Amino acid sequence: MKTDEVYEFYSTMNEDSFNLIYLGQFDDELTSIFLEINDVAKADQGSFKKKVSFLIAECFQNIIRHAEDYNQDQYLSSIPKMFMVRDKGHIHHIVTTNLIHNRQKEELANSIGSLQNLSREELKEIYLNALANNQRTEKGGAGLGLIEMARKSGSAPSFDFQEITSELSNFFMQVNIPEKGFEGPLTDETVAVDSAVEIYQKMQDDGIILVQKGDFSQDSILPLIQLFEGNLDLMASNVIFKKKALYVLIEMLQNITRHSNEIDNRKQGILIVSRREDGEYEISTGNYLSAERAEVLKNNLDEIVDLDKIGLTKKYKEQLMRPSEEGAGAGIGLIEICRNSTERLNYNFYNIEDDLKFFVLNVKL
Amino acid sequence: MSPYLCKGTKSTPEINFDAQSAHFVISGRSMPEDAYGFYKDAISWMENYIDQPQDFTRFEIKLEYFNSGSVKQVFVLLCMMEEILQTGKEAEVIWYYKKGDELMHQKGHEFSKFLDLPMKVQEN
Repeated sequence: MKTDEVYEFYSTMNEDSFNLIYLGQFDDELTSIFLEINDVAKADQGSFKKKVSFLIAECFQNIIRHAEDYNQDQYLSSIPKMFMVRDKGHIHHIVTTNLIHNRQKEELANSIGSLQNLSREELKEIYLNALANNQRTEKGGAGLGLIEMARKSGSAPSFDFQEITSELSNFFMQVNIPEKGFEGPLTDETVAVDSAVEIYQKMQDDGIILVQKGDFSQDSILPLIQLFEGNLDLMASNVIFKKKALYVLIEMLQNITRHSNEIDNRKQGILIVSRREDGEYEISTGNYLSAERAEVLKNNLDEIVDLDKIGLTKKYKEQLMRPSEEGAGAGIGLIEICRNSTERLNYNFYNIEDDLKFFVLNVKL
Repeated sequence: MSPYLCKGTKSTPEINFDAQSAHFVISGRSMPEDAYGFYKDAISWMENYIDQPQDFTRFEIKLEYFNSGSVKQVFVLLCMMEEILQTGKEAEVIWYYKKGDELMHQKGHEFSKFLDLPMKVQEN
């Protein structure tokens, strides 16, 4: 991924205070990781956090349940599924995708449509009815799941279909959850699925498997590391590669935690992980820096980026022997990233304001 | 001298420095955000210990993972083992790595090249 593309991608999510997207294969273990990420992101929001957690778990299981249908078919099971948690303004969104037969589209659209514009009481009545009638689709309780999502979030999910073949479509479902105290009605614009569909296509085209935009405090990076580990496990990479990739990922994330300028009290930035056809991973990060820090960092990078193996080891030893300074990241991190990268590092600094730069780093593994 | 003990967490290692038995262990994951701050107390404890070390000191590193900041602090601790040797007492470092963990294996070898003291790098 070019550094320009990273910056551009970041800019398209300008309005999102938080966005976590995972595209790929899913297993149950990932649910708990997503819940943990949500816990950290909404640590100060008690009952709202619980509500979102419930919906995350429900949506996630939805993906896994539906994915099982296509496990047997190599092409179909390789179509990536997306899970996205996104906070935009005062509305939080959870977006999922799964495959659906084109002939079922109408029925599904109708059943979601029947939940639209209903009051809390009406939804409850429908829910109780569905329970009493033991209404079951072939997937067991899918109807109930939808009603439950509408009840918890306060409205029917928005949705879209993208046709893949003459038989199948990708079904995008977006649950919209207004924050406590949100007064205004949900407008068509705020619940539109378009932007999620665009992001899915962009990610699929570029082989992106993981994106996080938001705060990069130490607490928030631990579950991300787990998520990445989980993906490496699913992709059956070898252990040596896994360790190296994790090592570099942690250095890059902690670089943001340690050095990033705070904007609105948060260490804002972006992480993008992509996986190329040949199995090679790319990790990109972006974060804000003061012009002064950017200058120092640029000099440090320029100094090591073209060194060969021996040069890097020498530099590494030099840094190791230097007395520690309080809080300093020792410079060892950058050298280690260089030593483990398979190609020359790409980096760039973008002007935001007079004294503020956006730093993008791209590493291939 | 009372021992220096520190319980492990998701991002910090367990540390067990016992002056009496002269047996030191660091184990687990070490990736604190501020490694300098995290290891400060352990390092000052060690400074006291090497003033009057036991006849034979054994230091075991059983790290599963560490970040670059921790690399430096662990290195500082190992350099102190070198200082023990200069007082005429003995010290040994055993660097463990899990089977297949090439990263920790490499780090162990690298450190043993950088340091002038008996150091074993072995699988556990």
